[in-house]
Amino acid sequence: MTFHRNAKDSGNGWDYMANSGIEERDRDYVGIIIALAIMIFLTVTQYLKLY
Amino acid sequence: MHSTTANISYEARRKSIWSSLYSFQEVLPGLLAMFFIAIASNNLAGVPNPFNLENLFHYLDNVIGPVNGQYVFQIFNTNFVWNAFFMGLFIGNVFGVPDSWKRGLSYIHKFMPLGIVMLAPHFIVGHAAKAGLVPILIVAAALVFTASVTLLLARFLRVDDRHASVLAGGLATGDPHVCAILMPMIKARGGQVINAFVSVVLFGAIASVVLPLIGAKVGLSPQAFGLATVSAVGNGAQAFSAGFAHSSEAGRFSIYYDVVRHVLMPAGFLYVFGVMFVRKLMFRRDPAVNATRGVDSIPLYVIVFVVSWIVASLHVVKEPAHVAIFEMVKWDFSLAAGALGLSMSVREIWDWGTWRGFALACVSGTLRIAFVLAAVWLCAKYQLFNF
Amino acid sequence: MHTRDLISMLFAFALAATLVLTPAGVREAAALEANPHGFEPADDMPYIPDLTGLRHQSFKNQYGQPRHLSEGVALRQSFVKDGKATVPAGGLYYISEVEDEVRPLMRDPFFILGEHSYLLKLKTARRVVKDFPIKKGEKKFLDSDGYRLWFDYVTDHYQKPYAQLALISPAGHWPLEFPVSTHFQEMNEIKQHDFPEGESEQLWNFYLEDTYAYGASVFKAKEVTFDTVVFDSIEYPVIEEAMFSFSRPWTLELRQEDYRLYKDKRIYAFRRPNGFLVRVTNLSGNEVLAEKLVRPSTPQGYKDAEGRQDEYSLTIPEQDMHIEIMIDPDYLSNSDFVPTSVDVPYGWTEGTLSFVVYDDLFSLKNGEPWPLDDRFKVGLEANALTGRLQRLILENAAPFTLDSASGSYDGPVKFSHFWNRPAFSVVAKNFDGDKVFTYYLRDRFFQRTDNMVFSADKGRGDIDFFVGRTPTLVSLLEDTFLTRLADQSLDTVVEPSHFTSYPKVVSNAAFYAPDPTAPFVPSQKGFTRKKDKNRRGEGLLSSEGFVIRGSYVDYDNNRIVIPPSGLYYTSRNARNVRALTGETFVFLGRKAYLASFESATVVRKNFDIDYWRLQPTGQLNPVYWQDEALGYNNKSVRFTEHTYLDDRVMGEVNIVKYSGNPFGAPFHLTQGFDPKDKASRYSVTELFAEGSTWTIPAYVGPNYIRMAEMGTPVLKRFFYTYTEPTQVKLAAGETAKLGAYTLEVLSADAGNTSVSIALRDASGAIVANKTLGSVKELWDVLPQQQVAVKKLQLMHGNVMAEIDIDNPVENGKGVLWLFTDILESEMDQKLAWDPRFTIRPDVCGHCYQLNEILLDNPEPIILDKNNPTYDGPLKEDGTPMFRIVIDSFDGEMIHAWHVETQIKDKVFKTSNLAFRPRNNIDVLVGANGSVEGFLRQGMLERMAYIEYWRRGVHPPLHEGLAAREALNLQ
Repeated sequence: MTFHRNAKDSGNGWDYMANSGIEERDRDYVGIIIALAIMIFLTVTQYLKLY
Repeated sequence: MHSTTANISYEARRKSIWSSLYSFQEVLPGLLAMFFIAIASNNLAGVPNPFNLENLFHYLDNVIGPVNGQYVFQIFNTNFVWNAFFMGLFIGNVFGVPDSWKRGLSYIHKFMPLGIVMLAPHFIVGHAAKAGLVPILIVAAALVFTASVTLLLARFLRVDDRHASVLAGGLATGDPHVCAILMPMIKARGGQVINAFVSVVLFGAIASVVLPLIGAKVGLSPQAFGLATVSAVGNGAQAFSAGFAHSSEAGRFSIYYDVVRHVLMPAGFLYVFGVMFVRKLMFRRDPAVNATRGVDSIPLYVIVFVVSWIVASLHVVKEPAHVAIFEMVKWDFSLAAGALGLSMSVREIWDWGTWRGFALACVSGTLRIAFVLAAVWLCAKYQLFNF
Repeated sequence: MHTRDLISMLFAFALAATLVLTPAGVREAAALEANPHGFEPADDMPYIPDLTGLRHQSFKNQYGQPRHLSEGVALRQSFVKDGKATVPAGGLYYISEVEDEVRPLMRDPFFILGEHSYLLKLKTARRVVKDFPIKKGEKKFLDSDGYRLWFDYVTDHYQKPYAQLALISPAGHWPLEFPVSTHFQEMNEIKQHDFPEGESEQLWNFYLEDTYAYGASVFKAKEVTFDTVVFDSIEYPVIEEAMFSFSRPWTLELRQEDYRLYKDKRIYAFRRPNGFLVRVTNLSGNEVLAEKLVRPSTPQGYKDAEGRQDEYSLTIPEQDMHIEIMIDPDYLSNSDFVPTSVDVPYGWTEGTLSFVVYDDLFSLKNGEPWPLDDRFKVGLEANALTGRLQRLILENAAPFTLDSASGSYDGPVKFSHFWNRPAFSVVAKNFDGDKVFTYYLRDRFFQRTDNMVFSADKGRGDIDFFVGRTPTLVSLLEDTFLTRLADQSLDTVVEPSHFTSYPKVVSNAAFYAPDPTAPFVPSQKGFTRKKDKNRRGEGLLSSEGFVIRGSYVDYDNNRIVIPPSGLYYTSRNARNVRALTGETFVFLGRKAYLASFESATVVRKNFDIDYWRLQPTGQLNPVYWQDEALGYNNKSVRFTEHTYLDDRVMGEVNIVKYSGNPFGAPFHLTQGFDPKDKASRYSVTELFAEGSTWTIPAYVGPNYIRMAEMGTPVLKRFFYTYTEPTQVKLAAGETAKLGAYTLEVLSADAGNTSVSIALRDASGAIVANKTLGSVKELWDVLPQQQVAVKKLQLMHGNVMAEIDIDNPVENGKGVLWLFTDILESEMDQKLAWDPRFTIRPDVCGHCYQLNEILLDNPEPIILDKNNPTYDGPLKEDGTPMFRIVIDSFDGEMIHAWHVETQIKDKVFKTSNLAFRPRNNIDVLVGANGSVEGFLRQGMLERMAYIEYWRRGVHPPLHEGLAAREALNLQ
């Protein structure tokens, strides 16, 4: 396994901190969906007296 | 394998929004790295690992002994975000980051909006009602004042506008977390965020020592001084330390009024984002305008956050659910901060003007102290509030 | 170690020399020589509940029974003088304490300087002190170990004294105050009466014995007067020696007629009719190292008795081995985790025999130096009830000083598997003359407490403190806890609530205690707290207050609910209010004079009381169906605790008053121990009677008690007036005005101490007449017996004449007290001018007198957005006694609320009682006996929270078993 100094220095040039375009939008959507799912799940289960 | 897929553009391999989750095989190493960094950093729900950075700091707090009743590492703002960040920074700078981790680490871009949205139930505006109208106005005014002053002064101190934005957010809300929250909105660089964070914390520490000395001269009542610490120092333990340094009553009122600052925090970062976003729209072609560049419209997660914030303020999320959601936020930001720490070289933190950020924090922070003390003093003098 | 010892001794000598030479040092020299045993630290000593190095945890023994262990460090009787802090011998001490007891043969856990150990052997004895006189208020040494007897106070019934005393251990702990008297009936005599079930008349006898039998302790008084008590004998258990192991034992399944290997040894077991012959040899089996007949140990209580313990183990000190044979189901081997205390109590249906081999043995002798550090002396203290080990004390053997040059004093060196090192150190610095400005305690992990000088500018004149959560603290704080909790220098302490989806809800809060975290407002303008004197010149402190209990937030409906009886006004004197002596009390802010009263005895027969596993008082769980009523709205009976004395169950029964407070100390009930039986190591009476409340159990079991009979007083009604009674002295034929009537003395008989009187109306016709007396004949049952009281009073309409019992006839004139405008209050009756409230007078369980007046709400009180305020009971002038105001409530959390009182046009508000968010509005206002009772129940937790409140930080989260308990109890 090769270690690199930071996000960018990789051998193949893929920067995981880069975030733009369609990829950024998709990531945002996924984050939002999961966040809403967790919040709704926790709230609804409390309303249903599950905890 | 991952290096092969990494070279194919995202657009080419995209099937749906879920493509941004990549394949399980690709992301597993990075997620595991984040997971272990997270549990080595913080006490997280469901993982009873006592050997973590949070507990180490707490141990050291107890060895050093309390300062004004507060824990020293709390005064220096160690918390679940920064513990994981420092752990990541340490590992990244000492050992480096293998390529195989990177797909997984890119989940930071999902975790950031995820965490920001889930923070919404943490800010129930109604909780501030107990303070009364005048203190709420003072805190809100101090927030807008500090953010505006910081953004304006940045130009004179030649601080990059992204750097200034995160700093303005952190300083105005009195919570360095906001630096991280603003990061994706402003499109700030990691180094800028950390630099801003360090500046806010250092200035806060200085302010928490200085404010009680000034406060004694101004002659405020303990209650008024407690309110002043919240607005002029902010940052939880730093404000409490300043309060308890004045008197124990002032300290208790610091805690009492802290909730006002706390629930108004989203207003702070939304304000900074809004100002910078409008500015970018106005000066589209100006090469000096970097903040929010690349953000073409108001991001959806910001809108979702605002909606969730409003819903939460209508008291839809009751207390144990709020605690459970916040435990998830802790997990989320611990993972994200680990990835952020790994991404950064120590050098980068100082790339954005070693002391410039700190100087900016000092100048606008000092102006804020003057503003808050004047406001509180006037309110007390003209009995706008029963201090 | 020796060098250090030498240095500290030199210091001591040097100090002693200086003190002897300087006259200014006389007081300090006296303090230095005084024995601090049984004394508490300074009244204003700092209390720090938590320091990581001092553990506070629960563990289970090999039978799954929980043991609650805790450690603490205390410093007492120190003083700062000329830049130097001096601590006398025995001033600094470490306590390791278990809530009840630890015994041998059970693998009971025990902390020794932070290290987990197991108690293996115990050598106990019973100390007997003969002919011991003690004066009121004294704390007098019983022996050279430092046990003291404390004569707390004396009170009277039928004008004869009964005394309350306590046995204080050298650490300062005492389990309870016990009453003794030599003037009253033996409790066995209660059996001679045959009471019908239901209400009957007041008892004439008062039951209190000269002997108080408390398990392993027996106190027998010879003479009790108002000033002194002379004891015939005082017996209490002491511990001479204890052996512990610092390691978890090796458990090896036993192989009959063969051996098991243990390290480099063989352990053989040969079956014999009454056990196993255990033989330990070297590895080859050639050399026998030890051999003994060992009986398998099972948990029968008698097995650890003197002289019997040895049958159950083989100890080979030179090999560092201690072997027991245990019968257990094999899944239980070594388990701390399986709670079998709720399963089969004794023995096992299917089990295996195992050797249990302990090493790292450690023996301690009471009064001897601590083996690892002879600067410290060992104290072993027994549980006064069971005689088993409860506390280990390590105290400094010689005085020491701290000053700027040497500001640190190491505690005893601890045993460690890795590094023996001082278990803690006391650090003091920044001395200035007779003040010190910084001192703290550092633990063995180098963690420290906050600076224990809380007021940085004033400093402190001593370095006393208490750190830790050991139960002894409760005893040490007895004299000062109320002052400490009432201290307003940190404003009203408000502990934030823990919010859950399911608020605790009770349909009726009668007999319930308020939330243990309810804020305490010690004084509020408009609530009286005043001393008054009766005719005999005895001072009586009257104090009003109010309590909210059982309130909760109904978050589904955005409202706060106070259940029926959840809000009550209370007025109470420092003791009960007696008739015939002109005693006063306060009723809704007005001073009232008690005229007369009507009480009865409630008797209940043949009923069962369930054991409360979870208790609402103190332990927070709203389980309620186990309560057994004793009279309607009078008393509730609860079986709250039990322990075993030689396998016999001793149940602890509490009688709970309507206010939610327990009546006196709990009753200890057990069967089969005759106090006269000298062969038994425990003495407990089979029935229990104190004053006029008694219980006769038919069966005492671990899960329920069957009561054959139980009786207690009840107050039916009382008569009072707001008009001050006047005294008249009238010769025969003389008259005086009494309300609308004319009172005439017909005769006054000085010899018979009686006065005959008649009452005439406006027309001159006699409407009533009576001979009041004879005082002399009734003297022995005065002033408590109501039949006697009635014989000395003539009540007609709203007026009353009463003979002066201390001076009935003077110079041939009858001495009378005249009461006018008499009002009557009856139990469970609505308050005439405010029907929202019901009157609940409470009775003294000893003496049938009026003890407390409660006014409570029969209907629930709802507070919400539309009704944010509620007026307390109205005074007779129509103004409310107090008002509850909800200032900020979001439907789930209460962020601000307060209580206000109005005096003329001025409004007095309490601080915000939800300074930290709360989920109920339970509160304690005022400081009378009822409020004090609630404060006492949660004293340690309250005291601990104050420290976190002072610093403005959150208390640490509980860990391990304690966390589970904390969660269960929230």
